[in-house]
Amino acid sequence: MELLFNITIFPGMLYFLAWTVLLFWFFRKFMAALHKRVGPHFNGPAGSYQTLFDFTKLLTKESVTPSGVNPYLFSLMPILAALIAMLPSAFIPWTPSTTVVPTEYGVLALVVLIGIEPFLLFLSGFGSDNKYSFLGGIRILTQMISSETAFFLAALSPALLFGTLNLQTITESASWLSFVVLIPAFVLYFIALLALLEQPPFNIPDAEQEIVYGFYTEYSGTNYFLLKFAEFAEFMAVYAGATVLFLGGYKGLLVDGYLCFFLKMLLMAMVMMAIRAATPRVTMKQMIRLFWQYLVPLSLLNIAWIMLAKIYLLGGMA
Amino acid sequence: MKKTIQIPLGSQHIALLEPIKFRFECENEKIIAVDSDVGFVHRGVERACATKFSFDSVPYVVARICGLCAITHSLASTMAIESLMEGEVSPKANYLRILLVELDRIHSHLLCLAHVSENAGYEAMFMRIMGDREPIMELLELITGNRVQFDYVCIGGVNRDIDSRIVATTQTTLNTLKSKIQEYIAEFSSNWSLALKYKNIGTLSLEDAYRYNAIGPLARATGLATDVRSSSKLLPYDEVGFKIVVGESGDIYARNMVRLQEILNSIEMCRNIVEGLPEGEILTPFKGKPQGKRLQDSKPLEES
Repeated sequence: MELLFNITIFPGMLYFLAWTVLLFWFFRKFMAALHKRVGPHFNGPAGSYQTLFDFTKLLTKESVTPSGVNPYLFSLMPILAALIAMLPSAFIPWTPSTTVVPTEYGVLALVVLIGIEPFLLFLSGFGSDNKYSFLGGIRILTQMISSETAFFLAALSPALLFGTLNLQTITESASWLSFVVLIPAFVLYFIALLALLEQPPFNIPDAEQEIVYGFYTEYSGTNYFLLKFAEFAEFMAVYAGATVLFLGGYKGLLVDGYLCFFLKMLLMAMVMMAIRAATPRVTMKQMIRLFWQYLVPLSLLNIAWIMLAKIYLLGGMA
Repeated sequence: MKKTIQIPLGSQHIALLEPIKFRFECENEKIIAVDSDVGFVHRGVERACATKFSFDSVPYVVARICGLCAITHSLASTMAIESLMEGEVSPKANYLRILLVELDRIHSHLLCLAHVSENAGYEAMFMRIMGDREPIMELLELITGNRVQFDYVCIGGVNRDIDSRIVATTQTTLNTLKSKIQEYIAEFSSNWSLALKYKNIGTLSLEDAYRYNAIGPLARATGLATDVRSSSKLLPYDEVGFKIVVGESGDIYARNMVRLQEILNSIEMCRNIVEGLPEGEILTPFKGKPQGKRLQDSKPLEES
C-alpha cells in the first residue's frame, strides 16, 4: 500500500506532474519578469492554468510519426526517457522518513541514472531520421561526454568527505562547516548541471537559431509532452541531487522538512533562470574547451581539496 | 565516404527575417560552403509601377517593398522623380525628410542589433533592445500617423508638419534612448561571452568589401568609408552634424559597434533638426509631368 502511494503520488507520477506544470509556469513568469514582459496572464490567477491547458492540449493532439523512421524506437524513447528521469527520486531522502529505496549506494544510483538520460535523448534524435534531430543528438552526446566528468567528480566529493555513499547519512552529517568546504564542488556541479540539462549558456543541442529544435524537431502531441516531462523530471532529479549532496537536503534553519527541500530546489531553479537571462549561447568548441581545459582539472583539484579538508578540518568525522 | 553534412536553412526559419534559403555544407561545426536562393519575395512591384500607376503614386507603391524601411524606397523614388521635374523642395521639408530617415535608421539598426543578439542565443538582450525600440516606433506614429508603412514623403515635400508638442516628445525620447545606447555600447564591447560570439567571426576584409560592392554598416565596419549620405548631396546632411562612422576589423563585433555609433550620430542629427527647424512651407507644388523618355526608349545607363 505504501509502495503504491510512493509510485503514484508522493515521489512518483503525480508529484512529477505537478512539479512539471508548476515549474513550467514559474519559469515562464520568472523569465518574463527578467525580460520586462508580462508572461502568461489570462487563464487563472497570474496565468497559472496556462501550462496545465498547454499540456492538456498536447495530450489531445495527434502524435505524428514521420514516415521512414523506426516507429518503435521513435515512440519508445519518450516513454523511456520520462521513466528513467523519474527513477532517481526513489533514492532521494525527501523528508527524514521518506526514502522509497533506502540503500547504501544512493550517490552511485543518482549519478548513473542522471548520466543515462542524455543518451536516451540522443537515441530519440537518432531515431527521428531528420538532420536537425540527428545533429541535436550528436551535440547532446558531445556535451554529455564533456560535462559528465566534471559532474561526477563534483558529485562524488561529498561522498568522499563523509566517507559514505548513503544519501540519508550524507544529509544527516551535513553541517555549516561541510557546506563551506563543499562550495567549490557545488559551483562545479552547478556549471556541469547547466550543460547536462542543456540550459543556457549550454543550450547547444536545441539551439533554435541553428538546428531548429534539436532532437525535439520531429516530435509532436503526446510524445512531445513526454519529452518535456522527462526534461522537467530531469531538472528535479538534478536539483534534488544538488540539494542532498551540497545543501543539506531537508535540513532547514528553524524546522526540518520537505518545505526546506523544496525551497532549496526552487532557489536553484531561479539561479538557473537568472543565468539564462544573462548569457548568450557558447559554441560547441568553446564548450568543449571550457570543460576539458578548465573544469576537469579544477574538479580534480577539488578532490584534493576535499581530502585535505577531511584530514585537517573535519579530522574526527569519518 | 563523404565527410560533410548538408544542412538546409530556410526558406522559413526562426533565425531569418525574410524568406531566403541557404544550404550549408558543414564539416563538423564549420561551414565550408553555402548555396543560397533568394527568389521567394518577387511581387512584381517594378512591373506594377511601370504599367498600373501614374508617376505621382509610384512613391507610395514602392514604399510597400519593405515594411520596416518605409521611407527609404519612397524617398529615393520621390527624389528621382523630382529631379526630372521643375521645382524646389523647401529647406524645412528637406530637414523633415532627414529627420524621418534618421528615426527610421535608429529603429532599423535597433532591430538588427536585437536579432544579432537573439541569433547568438541571448534572448534577454533581444527583449531589452526591442523594448527600447518601442518609443521610437511611437515617435514615428506621432509624427506620421503610422508605426510602419507611413506615406510621409510626397512629390514636392512632406505630408505632415510637426508642432511644439512633437518636438518636446522627440527630445525626451531621444535623450532617454541616448543613455540606453551608451549602456549597450558598454555591454556589447565588454561582455565576455558576447565577445566569444562576435569577435573575429564572419570577418569581411576590406578588399572583399571593395570587390563585392558592400554597402552600409557591413562595408563601413571593414574600414571602407562609403556612405550615401556623404557621397550624394541630395539632402543637406552636412548642415545637421553628420559624421561618417567607420570600423576596423570587419567582424560582427565591428558591425555592431558601427551600428551603435551610427545610432548615436542619428540621435544627434535628429536633435539638431528639431531644435533648429526653419519656418516655411512643407509642401511646394511641382507642376507638369517629369521630363524624359519612357522606359522602352531610353538607352542603358552607361551609354547615356
